[in-house]
Amino acid sequence: MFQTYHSEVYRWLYYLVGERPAAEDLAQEVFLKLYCRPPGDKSNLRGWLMRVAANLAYNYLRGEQRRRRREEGSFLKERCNLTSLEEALLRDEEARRVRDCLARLSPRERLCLLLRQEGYSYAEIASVIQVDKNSVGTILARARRHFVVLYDGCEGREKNVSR
Amino acid sequence: MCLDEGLLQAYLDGELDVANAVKVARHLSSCPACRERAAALEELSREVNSVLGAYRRATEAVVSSRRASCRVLPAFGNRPPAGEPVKVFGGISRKIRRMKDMVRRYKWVYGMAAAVLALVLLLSWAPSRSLASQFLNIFRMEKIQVVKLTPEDMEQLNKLFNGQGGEANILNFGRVEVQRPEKTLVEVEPEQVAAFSGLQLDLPTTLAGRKRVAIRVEQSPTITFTPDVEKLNSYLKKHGGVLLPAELAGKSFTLNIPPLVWADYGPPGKGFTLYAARDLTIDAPQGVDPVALREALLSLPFLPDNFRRQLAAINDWQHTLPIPETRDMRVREITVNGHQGVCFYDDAAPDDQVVLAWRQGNSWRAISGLPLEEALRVAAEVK
Repeated sequence: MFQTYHSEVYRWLYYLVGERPAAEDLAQEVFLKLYCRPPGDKSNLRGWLMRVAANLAYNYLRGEQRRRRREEGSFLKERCNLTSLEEALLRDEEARRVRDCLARLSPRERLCLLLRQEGYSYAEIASVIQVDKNSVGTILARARRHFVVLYDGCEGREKNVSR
Repeated sequence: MCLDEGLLQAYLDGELDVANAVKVARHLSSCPACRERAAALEELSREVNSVLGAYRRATEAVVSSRRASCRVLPAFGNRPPAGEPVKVFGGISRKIRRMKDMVRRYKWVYGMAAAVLALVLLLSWAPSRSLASQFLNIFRMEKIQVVKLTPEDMEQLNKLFNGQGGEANILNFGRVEVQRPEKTLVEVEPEQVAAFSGLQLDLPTTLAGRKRVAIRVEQSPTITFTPDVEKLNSYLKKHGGVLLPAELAGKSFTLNIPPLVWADYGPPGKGFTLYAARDLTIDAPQGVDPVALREALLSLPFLPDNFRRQLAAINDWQHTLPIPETRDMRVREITVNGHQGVCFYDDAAPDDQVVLAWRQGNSWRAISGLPLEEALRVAAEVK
């Protein structure tokens, strides 16, 4: 079971949090949860894993945000230097730009945007980011606009260099 | 009273109950301002979707490097009895997904091999060489050789590329620039293929009984590696390598990944994809000395020993692209249409779909989406 789903869960987490070490830790946590408290209904195990992962990702990002504020931005700067060659070699400059823009959204906006992108319903999104279902539309529209502003702002500034 | 943006967004996403949806629709029909806002939201959504869609696909390519650390669990490759987990995903789509993973993983490893090669070329400079020449040596990778990498090797290389190797971190040794083409994936007409890819291809409308559905050309980035001579030298001095001449500062090596042509045959999920590409080339400042290269290669302190030995055993290294075989992706050399080729397969399901790549004419072909035997049959029909 672990082998079947692990890489998918890992990639899903990487997509949601944008950091490899965190995605790896969280993926372990997802499977630990599965081991300790398996869902009663196993018919949609994949859905269950993805949902648990999304919840953990949101909690992580919120905690992360607190930590980041405490360290007054030193964290972000440090992370910029960790860009790996592997990523550079993959046609990844674009992905990096997107990831950096996403990192500047609030956890709530970020997850709202990314979960909607993957076809999650408003109700599902609301339960992950802990808001009323009726606010999802507002958050989503705002997140998209915010993202586009950041994304357009990055253009030309990052210029192809990975260091 | 005009509509709240959240309500409008929920309406566009089909998330309103019938009563509210009717209300919104009625208001929209009578309010040009709100119609305009709705159109703007839709445009925004389209824009963000296309960017994030590409991002999602890019993140699909990442591979957990820590899988090896989960030793408590059975080794990778010993899948549970087939059938059960596959059903959860729905047989075919699961297979396709795994295939796509494999292709993506292949690209990743391919990138890594190229990086190692670039590194090898970089370190092949004999210190006494004149650097006056501005001409380029072009290494054309027209042969392949499978190189086996153990999980430990992968770990070591991962560290090198991921910035966890301390001083032996690739980013300490130079600058990598990636020049991305304006459009990466474009759908083209058969007669445009040559213009987009530089390849004269015969892509029949029907192949192996399947109809051609689409042809796309994927433009790849050009990757330039500029060594940081000062840092490299201080590292090599410490670890007993061959020093680089100071004049090399600012000179670059360029990796040209050729455009990739994709031709899809048959309906999605039931067909296969035929790929074609020219050779990968590496432009290096002239003066690369093969003997020095060998030596430098063998003395690279941060290469895994096992990998070093195998690279050193490649005879025609100027023209050979090492294809790494890892625990997760098996590769074996195979003759296709009388030419050299490789087959990528999944150890857990040897009868499953493979990726078959081979040399034809003066370029490369590959097929994905078919079991080996069928892929070979189709390959025989490819001109």
